[in-house]
Order: sequence, then structure tokens, then C-alpha cells
Amino acid sequence: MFSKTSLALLCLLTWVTGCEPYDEVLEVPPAPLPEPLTTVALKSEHPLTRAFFSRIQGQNSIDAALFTPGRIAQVLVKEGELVKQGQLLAKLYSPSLDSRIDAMQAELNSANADLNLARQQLARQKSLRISALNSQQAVDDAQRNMHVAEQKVGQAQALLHEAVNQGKESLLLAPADSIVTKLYHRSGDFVDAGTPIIRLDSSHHQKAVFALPERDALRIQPGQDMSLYLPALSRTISGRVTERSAPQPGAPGLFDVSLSLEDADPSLVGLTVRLDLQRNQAILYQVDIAALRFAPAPEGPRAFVITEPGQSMAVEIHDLADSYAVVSSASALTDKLLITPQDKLATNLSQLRLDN
Amino acid sequence: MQSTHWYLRTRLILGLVLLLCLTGLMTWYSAFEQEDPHFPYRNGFILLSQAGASVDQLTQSAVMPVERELSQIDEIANYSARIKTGSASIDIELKETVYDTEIVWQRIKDKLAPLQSAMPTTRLSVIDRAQDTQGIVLAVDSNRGILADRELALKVKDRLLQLDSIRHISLVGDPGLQLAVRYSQQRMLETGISPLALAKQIAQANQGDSPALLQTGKMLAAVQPMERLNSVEAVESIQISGPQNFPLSSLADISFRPDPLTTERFYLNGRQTIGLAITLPPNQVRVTKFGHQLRHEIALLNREFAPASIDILLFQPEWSETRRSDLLQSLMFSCAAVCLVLMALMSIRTALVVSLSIPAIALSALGIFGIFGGVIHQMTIAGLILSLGMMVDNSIVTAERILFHTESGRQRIDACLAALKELWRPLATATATTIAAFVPMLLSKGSVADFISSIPVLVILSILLSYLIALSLVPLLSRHMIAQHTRPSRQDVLISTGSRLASLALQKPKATLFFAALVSTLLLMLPATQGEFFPKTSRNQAYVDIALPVGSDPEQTAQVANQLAGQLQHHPDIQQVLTFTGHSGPRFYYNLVQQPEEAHIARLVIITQPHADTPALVSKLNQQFTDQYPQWMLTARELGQGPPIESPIELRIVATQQRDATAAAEAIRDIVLAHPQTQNVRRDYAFGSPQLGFALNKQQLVQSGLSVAMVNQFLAWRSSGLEVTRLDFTSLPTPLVLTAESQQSSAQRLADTQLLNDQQQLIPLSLVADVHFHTSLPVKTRRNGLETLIVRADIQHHADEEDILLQMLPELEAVAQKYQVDLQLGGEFEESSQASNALLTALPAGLAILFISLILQFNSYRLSALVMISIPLGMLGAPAMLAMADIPFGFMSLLGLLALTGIVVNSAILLIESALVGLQQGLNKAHAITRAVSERLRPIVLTTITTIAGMLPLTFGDSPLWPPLAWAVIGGLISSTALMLLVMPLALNWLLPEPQQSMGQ
Repeated sequence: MFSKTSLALLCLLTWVTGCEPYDEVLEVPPAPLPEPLTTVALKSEHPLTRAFFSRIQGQNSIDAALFTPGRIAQVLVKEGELVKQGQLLAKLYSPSLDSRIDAMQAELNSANADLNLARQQLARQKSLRISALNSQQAVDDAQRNMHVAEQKVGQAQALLHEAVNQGKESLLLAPADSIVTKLYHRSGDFVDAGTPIIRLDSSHHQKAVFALPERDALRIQPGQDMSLYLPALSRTISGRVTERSAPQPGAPGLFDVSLSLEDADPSLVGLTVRLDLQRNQAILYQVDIAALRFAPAPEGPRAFVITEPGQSMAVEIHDLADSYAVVSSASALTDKLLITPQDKLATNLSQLRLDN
Repeated sequence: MQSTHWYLRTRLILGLVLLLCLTGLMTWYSAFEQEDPHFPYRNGFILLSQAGASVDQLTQSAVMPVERELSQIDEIANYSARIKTGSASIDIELKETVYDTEIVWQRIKDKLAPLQSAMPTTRLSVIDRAQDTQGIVLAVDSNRGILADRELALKVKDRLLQLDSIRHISLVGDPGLQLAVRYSQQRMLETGISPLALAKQIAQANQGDSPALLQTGKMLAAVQPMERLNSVEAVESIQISGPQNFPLSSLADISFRPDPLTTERFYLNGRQTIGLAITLPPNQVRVTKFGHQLRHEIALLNREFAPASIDILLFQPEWSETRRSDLLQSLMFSCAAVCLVLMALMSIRTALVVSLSIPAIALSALGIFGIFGGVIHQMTIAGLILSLGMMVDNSIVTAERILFHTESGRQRIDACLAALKELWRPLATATATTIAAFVPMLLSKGSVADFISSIPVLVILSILLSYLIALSLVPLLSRHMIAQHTRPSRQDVLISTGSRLASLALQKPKATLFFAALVSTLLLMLPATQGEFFPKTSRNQAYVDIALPVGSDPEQTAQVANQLAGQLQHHPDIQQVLTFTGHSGPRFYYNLVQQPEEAHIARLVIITQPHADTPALVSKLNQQFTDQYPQWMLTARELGQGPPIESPIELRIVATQQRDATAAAEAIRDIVLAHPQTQNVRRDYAFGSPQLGFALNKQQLVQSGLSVAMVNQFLAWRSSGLEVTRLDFTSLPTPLVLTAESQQSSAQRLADTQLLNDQQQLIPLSLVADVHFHTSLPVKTRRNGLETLIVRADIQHHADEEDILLQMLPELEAVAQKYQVDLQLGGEFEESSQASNALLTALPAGLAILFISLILQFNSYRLSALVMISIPLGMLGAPAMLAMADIPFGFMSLLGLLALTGIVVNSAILLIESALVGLQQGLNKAHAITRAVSERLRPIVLTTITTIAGMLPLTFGDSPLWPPLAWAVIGGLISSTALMLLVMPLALNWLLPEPQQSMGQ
């Protein structure tokens, strides 16, 4: 009986233990690497530039002023108006000048009257001499009086001329075809001699002067054509380099480069204009930020990308925006680039040799 | 005749027992309760921030001085630093033996205070309560945009803080608020007014000082500060003096905006929103009750702020309630099971007596626990359940003995007294040995010990009380309840079986031994199921961690996270997805690893449908991620238990030479990658990320009339904004920021900044600074003051990380040797070995105490050793049972083994004691042994079966925490009892001395 029950128990136990599914040590094959994800490196249409700003001004700009002080009687032009050469722009009210002309005119008149008298006297004396009724001295005196009177007339004329010229100075005339950019003073204002009243910018040609650092200024040659951008109008215009000045010692190292606009357009005067200078000549690519990877290198970490065929190429980063980076590379990035996260690739980064 | 012994006083005993039971009931309804036990604050971190500082700069100037101070504090076990651009965090872990954490943190703060004054540009803050969980997360939606959400959230926060049980509320995904004054560069070129001039004038407009105080004899009047900005209109009308005077609003656009530099965001259904995370103080709240209070308050707030809505997303009190009720249910089932078993195997009345003692013992234990300030949580109830099977034993043995004597014909009172006299010593020993097994668990220190500390407390309390009640209440009840005569029907079977078993064993010693050995070997051969050491929890929550390359933009992270969340939302099993980007979200569960302020990570918290299979969903998601989203690093995880671990496999490489460390780390990564059972191998270090650098030409700077500060301010104006002043008319102080914001931001635009110097000259930035990109290290990790590189990996489902590590170890050590670096193993290996050590150091101490109590009882080395043999016999059964139930051997099973040591010895003690008594009464050895076995078979079988019945409900509960414990104990008990009944008679035969002939009758 012992043997039977014990045998039965033994069988039971063996069955229980033996029928347990023997769990193999899980040799699940490693999951295959997923299809590599790729992105394309777009050749960047827009080269990297540095922007500089300036204002458009006339080729020449003059602050017109007058020789004499006075009160502006009338300004005949408005700001922004185009004026022709010689056009009357403003009139100065100067009572002293007017009265001076009258005074000189009166002087001239009296000098003329004196001259007439002196001429008559000479004629009389001359006629009396013929009749031997007077001395030679009298004739000479009369002659002399007439000369003096003539000179006095001349003097009076000159003084009148001066007064008239001064009178003319109360009128401001446009020296050339220009655009009125600013009225500094308006009718009723009192101005001193030489105080600018109106700013005029030549309407024939416009220019923009940019203050450039030397690195950029040296790359620009006089005569070079460049394109300028007007942010306010979103318009591109072109200009030619005319001048390039050098900075003074002690002043910021900026070179003033003047670009003369090709098409004259006086309405652009005063607008902000932007000049974009290309920074470097390398071919630039726009790539998804996810394609950038980094590996250690003796001289410091390097950025690189992996192309679809499996090549690792070092790149240099020039710009980063929200979702893309602008990079340049020693060789052309024509293949697709991987954007699989680096941790999912089996590359040992410390043994990576970057194709430079 | 009438005994006046204390243990016969009915009213006294009943009164005491009722008192204790009432205390127990009161404790249940009024003690503090929460879901999980609270650990002392042994983990915290230090935050350092210095805007714009590079990684190297920050390391040298801030991190290393702090590390030097930390290394002088002995209570710190280890500290690891993570340094990024502009900020660094140093995680501090105190030693497991530290309990007085407040003092240590205070010392740390005191040591670091002088450092703060030496580093004026760096901000230093110590966060010592980092372990607090933010179990309740609300979403605030005002339907009027994110800034209005924030405003509402701040109001709700102030209202909720009125509830006194809340420790702290923080905003989740706070976008920050700024008043942005948008003044573009184009404007500057047009007007010629430099932004710095604007900033100065705005700042002057917000001085806020009251210059004068009028004091007459009787009155005191303050002159209103006129230089204070108290509304947006005031800002708009600030007069800016330049060539002409303008109000600020004509030069710039003024409006509120979120802070563009915030990384942490919170999205719900694709829309950015704000959350509130609530922290409750541990061990001070009745969480369930508070949960109801909070729901009520939120309903009120919802009604008050009507079109806006405040939704509850994560609610921990609900889980506390569920856990408690689940465990309570298990407790009820256990009680019922035990009662049923008793009624099946004993007479109904005796069974009733014993059944009545169960609630008496349990409630009394709970009452005493509550009096001494115990907190009710999962472990408390688990302790009650664990002790359920054990506490009945004493009562069963006593009741059974009384029954035996009654059936033998004695009067009830005599039967009780006889039973008491026979049993008080062996029961005391049995109780003492069981307690001895649990005392070391009580005394050990460390996180694991803290987690389970309630269990030994409750077990010891209940066993102690069970002894007292078995000797007082049980005889009392038996006296009054069991019938005078009984039908000795069942006992015959058991007694005869017992005597037959014993005689068989004695007659065929070799066969018995052989049989026992065979069974043991077979049990050992059962293959164990593989699995993790710490089991997962069973909430309907899971999470997905997303990691983009270090240095990614927070906007990009948010885009990826929202895309994934949108797709997950369509899954039928998923109820809701919470998206946290730029950080790992609130710490709504204690096991989660926290990573604040990391722009490149995101976490999606998934709330699954109530009856969905979350583990299956998680593994399916992981599979899906590998197939469908190969361009991102995604991992789906369940909520686990145990200390927060970032990854199961963590390898730390420490070296002095950076080059060697890198090469070693990469080689180690190759090895880990090559192992078939690892997945998601990732580097916790990065090699570089692009950074914009400005190389200043000092000479040109000076000649241009500019200074470095001015250049910085211009750059700030052209990028995220130049902070000008702080406005205090909003609910929180808000910075006023001057910015040249435009649609597209790129480094190129920044390089095109035009600077205006004091002479109104326009200077292009390229004159004074060279703008270029360079690659620099975005993050560095250090551990205990040395630079460390970390390689992490997850493991496949059902794989064992210890095995994997041991398999890779030779290769790993070879690499470490080759590059002369130091390799440390972290992750789950480190934590589980710490946990095992904590528990296993308890074991020998327990055995020692056990041995000593046995010596006291039997006064014989041999007999004590014999009792101890039952322990390894029991240890055989546990892994076998676990294997049959397909459960991995982990932390809870280890706990079960420890509990076993106290339980299995009881049967042995009873047998030996009975045999000794038989010898004393003059029987010969064989007869004594046979009689002992036959008499004790019933109580032994009863106690074993009741303990098993008590454990069984735990095996089919929802929580994965208890089945390993329950199966281990069940398996151990079965094997121990069965094998012991076979082996014990032989051993006794061999060890007991022959009875002396002169013994009287």
C-alpha cells in the first residue's frame, strides 16, 4: 500500500513539474532597425547676408539760406514739392532794404540832377568863352564840376545797384532742380543771416550712404552695381558705388560708402534702405535640424550629417532658425540625409572618422 | 471551588476585550490614512541658475564649490550634478540610515548660505521636500486663452489654499506673464530713438518711491507716488522725450504675452492649458475624507466661475479609497475563508469561538496601533492580512485542546484549565519565535524598511494579542459555548491517519527519507519565472516618455508630443492623454522620476479605460513606437513600485581623462546594444549642440562709444526681450519687457542688429562683434564630484536585468580595464541589491533570536536545530509555488519568505513538545512520537489550512503587489508541513533520548 500511494504521489509530482512549459531563455531576435528616415538638403536660395541700413537722400543736398537777416514774409513751396532751377521759394520781409533802395534812388536822382546842372553850366561857360566874356578858369571850373557830378552819379548808381542787389537777396531761389525735403522755417519766423531756411535735395539723382565695417567695405569697389531693398515699400532698386571714404582715427572704424541710385525717383528721399552684403562664398544648404549630429573630436566637438549611403560628413553651421539649419560642407550634399535619432543608430561616435 | 483567578473573570475579560475593540473601531474611522507609506525626506536637490553661463563656466564657478561643501557632510550618500547652459541641478541622496532629515537639510542650507553671497550672479535654492507627491492634478480652462487661464488658476489656487490640509499648490505648465513693449528695429531706424533710451525712461516712470511725507500736527499724509505704473494705460501714456515728445503707445505696441523663455508646458487635447498640482502633507491627513472635501470645493468653484471650468484629471484620494476597500475586501474574504475552514474541520461551536476571536484580535491590534499614532495605508492593511492566518493559530490550538479534553469526558472548566496548563508554555514559545522573526524587519533601516515598517508592527501586535486572547477570551467563550458532550466522529479519521503516518515513517525510515529527498529535488527543479524585482502597480494609468536630442527647442518638443498625443487619443483603450512638454510633469506618483526644466523631453500621461489591460497596452505601444515612429525616442511604461529608477540598466563611467571616458562609454554602449534582451539603449550624455557666440572687438567697441553692457542690452532687445522694470498691478509681479519681436527668429536676424550709441550714430553689430556658431557641450553630468558618463537601457518584458548584467559583465570590465576608467552599475540592479540587502540582513538576526528562544524552551541544541530544519523545508516550497503560479520572484516574495520563518516553526514546536510530554508520561519513544503526530495532526492541519485560507484572497486581488507574497507563504507552508510530517518522526526518533524506566505513571 505504501508503494501504491507513494508511487501515485510521485507520479503526480512528476507530472506537475514536468508539464510546466520550460521557458527558454528568451532569445528574441533583436528588432530590425527601422527604415532609415531621410530628409533632403535643399540648396539655399538665399545666401547668408549681413544687413546695413541707411536713408535715401538726394545726390546733393543743400540747406538754402540768405545773406541777410529778416522775417520770412512768405514761403511759396511745400515740403515734398519739386522745384525747378531759379524758382522763387521764399520771400523775406526787410523794410530797411526797401527804404535803402528808395534812399539810393533819391541819391541817384539828385546826383543826376547835379550832373545835369553841371553840364548846363559847362555849356554856358563854353559859350561865354567863345564871346571872351569869361576867364579860362571859369571854363575849367565848370569842366571840373561836371566831372565830379558824373562821378557822383556813378557812385549813386553803384550804391543803388548795391541796394537793389540786397533787395534781391530777400528772395530765395532754387539753385537747381530739386525736391523740397524740409522747411526749417515758415512765414513769420525771424531768421539770421546764414540760417538755413529750406532743405533741398537734388531731384535728378539720389544716393544712399552706408557706414560699413572695413571687412565689408573693402570688398566693395567703386563702380560696382548692388541691389538695395526698401523695407517700407518692399521694393528692390539698384545702385552704383560712387564713393568710399575712410574713417578718421579715433572714430568708429566705419567706411562711408555712397551708392548712387540708378533710377531717379525723388519720392524715395527719406526712406530707409537696406543693403545686404553676402557674407561668405560657400555653397549653403538648408537642412532639417534633426539631421544635425555631433561627435567628439580632438579639437572640439564637430557637427556632422549622415547621408543615406552611410557617409558621415562634417558640416559647418551658419544659421539656425526654428526648424532648419543653414550649413555648408566641404563636398556637395546631394544625397538624402538621415534624420533617425543618433541613439537608434549603432555608430560608435568616438571611433567615427568624419569625411572632411 | 469558585476560582478567582484573573483568567476566569468573565466580566473583566469581556470588558477589556470590548474596550480594545472599540478603540480599534475608532482608529479605523479617525486615524490618518493615505495610500502609501511615507519615506523620510532622503532625496532632494539643489538648483543653480545663472542665465547665459556656459556649461564649463557654471561648473567651475558654481557647481564645484557646492560639491566641495557637500562632500564634507557625512550623511550624504551620493550627489550627482547635471549641468546645462544657464542652469544646473544637483541631486542629493542621504544615507539610508538617516531618519532625522530635517537637521541634515538645515545643515546643508547653512553650509551653502555663504556660497550664495560669494556668487552674486548665480541663484541657488535648496529643495529638500522633493519627495512630496502631487497626487491631485486639476486643469483650469477659462476658454479665453492661456493668459486668462493663468489668471484664473492663480485665483483658484488662493481659494484652495484655504483648505487646511493642503501643504502646497503649484502651477503646472505656467507660461509666465510679461507686458511686452514691441519696438521694432525698423522703428528705431525711423525715429532714431534707441531702445536703451526707451528702457531708461520707462524704468524712471516706475520708481514707486514716495518722495515726501507731510506731517502736520495732527495729520500724516503721504504724497502719492507719481512715478508708479499702475495700469496698462499708464504704460501707454509714458512720455518719451526725443526730437519731439511722444507717448509710448505711438512708438510701440503694448500687450501682455506669455514668457517666451518658459520651457514647461501643459497641453490637453492639443490646446495649451494650465494645471494645478496639489501636495498633501504626509501622515497628517485622512486622504479619503479630504478627497470628498476637495471635490465639493471644486464643484463650488466651478459654479462660481461659471463659463470657465476646473476639471480633476488625476485624483489620488480615489486610489487610496480603492486600495483600502480592495484590501478590506480581501480581509473580509480571508476572515470568511478561515471561518469556513474552521467550520468544516472542527465542530461548529468551536469554530464559532475561534471566529469570534478573529475580530477581537484584529481590532485590538488596530486600536493599539492607532493609539501610538499609526497611519493606515496599504502596508498597514497588508500587515493585518498577513497576520490573519497567524493570529488564529493560537486560538485554534487552545480551542482544539479544550475540545479534546471535553471530548475525553472532562468538565468544561477543567478542560479549559488543563488546556491552559498544557499550552501556555509552548504557545508562548511559538509566539515568541514568530515575533522574533519579525523583530529584525522592524529594526532595520533604509527606504525598503520604511516602506514595509507597518507590517512587522501589526504582525507583532496581533500575535501578541492573539496569545493573550487565546489564553483568556477563548477559554471563556469555550466554557460557555461548546456543548458538554461531543461526537468524536471526524477526529478518528485524522487521529488514525496521523498514527499511521507516524508508524509508517518510523518503520520505513530509508524509504521515507528517500521520498522526501526526491520531492525536495523535484521542487527545486521547477523553473522560475523571470521578471522584475519590484512589481508594477495596477492603476489605470501609464505614461510615455519622449526624448528629443539635447538642445532641442521647446516648441519642437511640444509639436512632437502633441502629434503623438493626438494619435494616442484615438486608441479605443485610452480615455485621456495629458501632455507635459519641457518637463516630466507633476510628480503624481511616488515612483516617477522627475526632470524639471528640460526643453528636450516630454511626458504623456495616459489614462486608460477602467477595464482596459494596461500592461498589454503598454507593450503594444512600445512595439508600435518602434515600427511607426522611428524618428523619435519613445518609451511607454507602467507605474511601478519601489524607488524611482530612470532606467533598469544604468552604467556609469567615471574617468579623469575626458577622451578615455568617451571612448569607454561608446564601447560600453556597443556592448549593451549587442545584447539581445536590451532595448532603447541611449546615451545620457551629448557631444555637442550648436551655440551662438559673439566675439567682441573691444577696440571698435570703445571707439564706437559703446560698452559690453549696451551690446548685451541690444541683443536682449532683439531676442527674447530686455527686462526693464517690474509691474505690480497684476496678481503676481510681472516684468515689463522691451522687445523687437518679429515673425521669424534666426541667428542671422540677430547678427543684423543695429546699435545706436549716445551720439545718435548707427553702428552695425558686425563692426563690434563677430557672430558665429560653434559647437559646445550642452550638458555634463557629475557624480560625487567626478565627471561621469551614463549609458542607459531598458529590458524586454520578462527579462531579468540581473542576468543580463552578469552576462555582459566580463566584456564591460574588459573595456573598463582597457581605458582605465571606473565602471559602476546602477539602475534596478543597485536598488534591488540595496533592497535585498536590507531584507536579508534581517534574516540571520531573526534566525539567531529564534534559535535562542528555542533553546529557552527546549533546553537542547539538537531539538532547537530540529525545529529550525522546518525553515529550509519551507523555503523550498515558496519558489516552487511561485513558478507554478507564473509569478516572478521579487521583493514581495522575499518578504513572504521572511514571514514564513516565523510561521513554519510553530508546527514543529507543537510536535516536539507533545512528544516530550509523552516521554515524560512514560511512553516509549515510538509510541510517544506516534501519539504526538496523531494528536497534533488536527491542529497542525487546521493552522496550516487557515493560514493558507487567510492568504488566498490576496492571490486574486487587483494589485500585483500581494500575489507574490501570498503564493510564497502558501507554497512554503504546504511544503514545510508536508515534508515535516514525513521527516519529523524520523528525526525525533533519532534525536530523542530513550525514556527513563523509573518514570512513574
